[in-house]
Amino acid sequence: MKAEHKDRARYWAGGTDLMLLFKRKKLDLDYCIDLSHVGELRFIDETDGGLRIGSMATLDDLDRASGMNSATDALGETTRLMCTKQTRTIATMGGNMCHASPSADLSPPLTALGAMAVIQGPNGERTLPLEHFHKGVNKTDLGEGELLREIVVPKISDRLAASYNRVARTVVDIALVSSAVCLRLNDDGTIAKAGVALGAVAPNVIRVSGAEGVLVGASLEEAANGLAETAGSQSAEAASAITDIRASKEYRTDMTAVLTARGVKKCVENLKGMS
Amino acid sequence: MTQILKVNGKSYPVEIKPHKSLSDVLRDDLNLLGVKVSCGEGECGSCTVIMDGEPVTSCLVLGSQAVDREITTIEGIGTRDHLDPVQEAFIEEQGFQCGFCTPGFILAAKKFLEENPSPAKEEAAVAMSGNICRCGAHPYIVSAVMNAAEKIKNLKKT
Repeated sequence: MKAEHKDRARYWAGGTDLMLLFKRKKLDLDYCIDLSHVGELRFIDETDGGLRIGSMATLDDLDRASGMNSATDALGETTRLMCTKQTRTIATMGGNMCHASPSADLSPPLTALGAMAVIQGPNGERTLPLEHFHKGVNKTDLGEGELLREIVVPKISDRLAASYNRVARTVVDIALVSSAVCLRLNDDGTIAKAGVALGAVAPNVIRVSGAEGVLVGASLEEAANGLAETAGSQSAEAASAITDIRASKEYRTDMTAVLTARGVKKCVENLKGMS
Repeated sequence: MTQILKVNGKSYPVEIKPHKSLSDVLRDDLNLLGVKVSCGEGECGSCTVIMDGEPVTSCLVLGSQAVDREITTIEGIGTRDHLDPVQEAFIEEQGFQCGFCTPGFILAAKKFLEENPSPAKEEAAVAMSGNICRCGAHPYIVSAVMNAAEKIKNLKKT
């Protein structure tokens, strides 16, 4: 159907973003291909390969999955900042990813967790890191006939913590700026891997390898005392924020540093609590 | 094309216009005027209905997305002679002023209390944060939710 009608047809997940475009007459379609009925795409499973989240898993499903492991804890915490309960029951993870808004709330935590996008198409299946899935404002890497099937967060362990922090006026407003941090520990208690991802300061989510590099190899003490701020300033440097109706470029850039530092400290606290 | 909508336990054959939101279908085509639309953008919660057991903002759902699902509106809970305990509690606590937002609040509260039958006051307030009352009856609404929780517990005991 999509192949036949091309741009006149659009895949419809929860539809909470597209419905608004529809109402504002910014979207003109002949066909909506409703995926929200496709039960096979609605799952959240912990497997040996990592945490698998089906594209039609709703934000409310993610909230309910809190407590499964530290990745779902962070994602659940994120979804509770997103819109209201009665919208979370409709809105889906896949819709949030494929709409590819600069301020999509699930992008930073998933990217910081090292998530991979699994894409299903006429030529089979392919996988790519989430930060390469997004290709600009409202653009994704999906080709004709392709669908985002699921997101996989690899290697969940109990020595992992993630935290998502954002600035927004209210829960129903979109993020002015956001930052996610994920830390994984070695057996000796030093940081094995770090993920730092920023939202709303570039056309899509960005990873800050500079900030990640600063944290890797450090002890939790070092991370909490000094390195958190260094990772923050690295994040501010990586940000290319804009000024718009919601906030100025300067405010966004400064808050990027604050939120990243806060995220690192929260992760350290969580990891200390676990050991 | 005529499709079947299952609302409040009844099946309604409806010609659903493709662009029409569920809230508009319920109001215009099924005459269920207890569904109130205020912001139309999923922020205020007035249009909350229950779809397959979950509260949803019906202004953000396409009418045709609701086919094959069970919908409950305010018309589907309680009757004039036998009100739902949540409805009774809202009256007792005066959890409204103009009443426009009330159907959405009652349905959201009903689902919340099914999931969390003995909430703390703060939990009730968070659960009601998806609905906005522009008269500002929020403190009374939270009291109504707490009162309803007691009523439902007492009903179960008897």
